[in-house]
Amino acid sequence: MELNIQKLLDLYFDGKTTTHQDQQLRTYFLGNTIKEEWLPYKSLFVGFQSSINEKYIQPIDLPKKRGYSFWWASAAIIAFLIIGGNLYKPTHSYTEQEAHESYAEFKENVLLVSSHLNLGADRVAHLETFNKTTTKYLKKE
Amino acid sequence: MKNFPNKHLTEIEFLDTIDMFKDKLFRFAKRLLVSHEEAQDAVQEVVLKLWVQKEKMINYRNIEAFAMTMTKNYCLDRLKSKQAGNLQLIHSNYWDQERLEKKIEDRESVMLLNRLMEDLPIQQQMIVQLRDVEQFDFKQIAEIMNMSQGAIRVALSRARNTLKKALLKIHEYGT
Repeated sequence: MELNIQKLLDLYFDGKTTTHQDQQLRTYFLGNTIKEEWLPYKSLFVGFQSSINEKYIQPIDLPKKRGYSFWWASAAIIAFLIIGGNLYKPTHSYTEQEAHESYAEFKENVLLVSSHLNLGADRVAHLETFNKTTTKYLKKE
Repeated sequence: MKNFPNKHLTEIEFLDTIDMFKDKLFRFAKRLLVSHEEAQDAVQEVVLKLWVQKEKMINYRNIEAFAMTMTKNYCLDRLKSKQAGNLQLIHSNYWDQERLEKKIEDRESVMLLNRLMEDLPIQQQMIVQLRDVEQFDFKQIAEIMNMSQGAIRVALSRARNTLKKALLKIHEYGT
């Protein structure tokens, strides 16, 4: 037995053992009767053997599947935009006269809106007075 | 949707396949990167890469060796970028880390070996890990390392003898 182990050890340190022979060495060194001069090697075989007890315990996260409907939906939107863009053509072109007319109309509308916007502006003055008064009142207190 | 009846099954099959060797990937990564967290990241990264190209996986006759190769490349890249960034390679405190990890028998032997292996050249570390811990055959190791079997044996012999010397020295001084 011990003669055999010596041979195996020599082979081992020469990098020539088979996996089976490695296993024989491991079995020997995991046992309790190790020859004195080989005791230093115990850590080697026991250590390698015990290293495999370390496991990967994290759960594996695969990217969440969005499913094929997602891809179909995006494809449909893109197709719609492309086809829609191509189909849309102005029905008639404007003459210069018409363009001026619509510009004038637009300007009028905007002015109307802005005058209404200013309607509330004078109220802000009242608000200021109110502010002042309150401050005065509070100061007195 | 009816065109993909195996969609769900494939995912399970994939995870089952990964399950067979994910521990090996993790230990291999940890040997190189030392840090527990970084080793976990490495596994996650490699699994994701495999997942993306899972259709191709049928073509690889040895998925396990392929995954180990990917892990090796990922870790070497990580180490390279660490060095490029002038970051110090952290020599782990295995003594502290391992203390937290339960279920490890003969922890002292493992800790001692880890410590001694850190001093080996990185290539030798990988080969020892593949052979002595994971028990791959030389053909697979040659494939993973992209080296000839002869060169693997030479490197393995050197590494084992370095460890032998270190162990004899420790034994001599009675530690």
